[in-house]
Amino acid sequence: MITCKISEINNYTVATILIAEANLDHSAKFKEQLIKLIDEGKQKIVVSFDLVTYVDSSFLGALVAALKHAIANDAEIIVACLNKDVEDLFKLIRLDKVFTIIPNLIALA
Amino acid sequence: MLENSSKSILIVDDNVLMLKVLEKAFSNANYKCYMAEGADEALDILVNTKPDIILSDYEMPEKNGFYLRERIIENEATRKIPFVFLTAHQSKHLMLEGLNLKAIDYITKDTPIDVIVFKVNNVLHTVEEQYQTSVDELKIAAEALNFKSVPHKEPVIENWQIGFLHKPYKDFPGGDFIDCITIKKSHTFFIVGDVMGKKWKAWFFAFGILSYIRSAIRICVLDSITSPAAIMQKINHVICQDDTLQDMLCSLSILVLNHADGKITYAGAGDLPIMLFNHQKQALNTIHADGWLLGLSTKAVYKEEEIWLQNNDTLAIFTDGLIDGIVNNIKKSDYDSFKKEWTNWMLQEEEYISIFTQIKKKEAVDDASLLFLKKTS
Repeated sequence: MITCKISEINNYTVATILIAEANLDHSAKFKEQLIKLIDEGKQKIVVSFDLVTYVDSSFLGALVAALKHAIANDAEIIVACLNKDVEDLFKLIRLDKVFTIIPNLIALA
Repeated sequence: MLENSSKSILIVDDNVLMLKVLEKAFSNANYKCYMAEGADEALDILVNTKPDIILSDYEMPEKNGFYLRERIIENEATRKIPFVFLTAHQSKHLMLEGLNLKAIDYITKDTPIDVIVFKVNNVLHTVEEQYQTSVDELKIAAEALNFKSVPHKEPVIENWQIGFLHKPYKDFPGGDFIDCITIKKSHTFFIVGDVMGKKWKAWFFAFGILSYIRSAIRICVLDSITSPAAIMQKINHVICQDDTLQDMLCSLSILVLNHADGKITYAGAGDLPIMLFNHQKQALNTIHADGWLLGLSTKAVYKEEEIWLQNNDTLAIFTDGLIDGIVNNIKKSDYDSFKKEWTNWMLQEEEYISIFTQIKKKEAVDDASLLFLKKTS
């Protein structure tokens, strides 16, 4: 069972989260998958929240921990396809200042 | 017998008739049933569902019960769900292989259906008892450490009413904490924090970080610094440079109340906007800080702002557990809904104790903490 499906669009590695409720149960696996991508040398990683309806603080913690690892390895994590509630949460706790947020994957093509 | 009103079970069997019989029996025993006709369908269900127990046939075409069991224990999110094999055979070899895969029990298909239900009940009951014993031991250890997520009573400050709400998730200590430190009877520091994560791991980090915060405040005050932004900056540097806290992120609100003039100075790190209710205008405003989560980067910059309350104005500082809820069986975060609810409470001039009682009755999906401040005269 995987938390993210990995695909490539041009120079971007897209990690699409496959769960609706992104929570503590999935956060460790999610972080592990992102860190593996960074360690494999992927430099532009897009995390798609297209299927996600709810994110808890554990999962956000995993995303930010992966970002710290990315920054240390000259890589970038972009966040995409947030629903309104999740995007509002990102803005409320200033994660929109930390991540580049794009509305969809069209711009990558 | 175990009460099953909130229990759920995933039943896996390629025999549709058997599946229906089991579904009926477990539904009658008040289980919420998830049904799968094969390993792949079961794994799909487990992506977004976490049943209390799994009952799976061993013999299924293409992918058998052992395959399913192996995939389940590979996944951190599912490996701890109790798993029971259902098999047509009483083969010792098969049983041993299954038990090696940490299956809790074997039930043969010729077992009467009501006995199958009874056995599953017993398995769940035993698992719950063992779990509760471990939790009780941890709680005793936590109490021995004498770390409280919230002070045992609110400070008494002339002309101010102060209330704390702390609602742990599922009764576990978690990552939320509230503290208040009065220095030289002239300033009181109010702290509301949330270490990202849940349950014990977050609680242990909260234990560590609150020690840092308390130290930082006292050291700063010794140097005559009462600026929450300066204190936040120092705490962030320490956390970023502490290798043991590399995976730790924390939101934090610091408010400093000057007893002499009533001025409040506020700095925030990744915290939710705080809510100021103006009693005279009968209007609620939100105050947004701009600091990043603690532990993210040493480059983060923290600023502060002054807040002045008039008589009967209130401030609410809270963690994300207050905005998370379940609507139509779907979890969601909704700051605006909580803001509306809070505004109504303030318009109706509800006492904070009554508000806290109402909040405590709501179903929670995370730790929830709130600091309430009211200027009384």
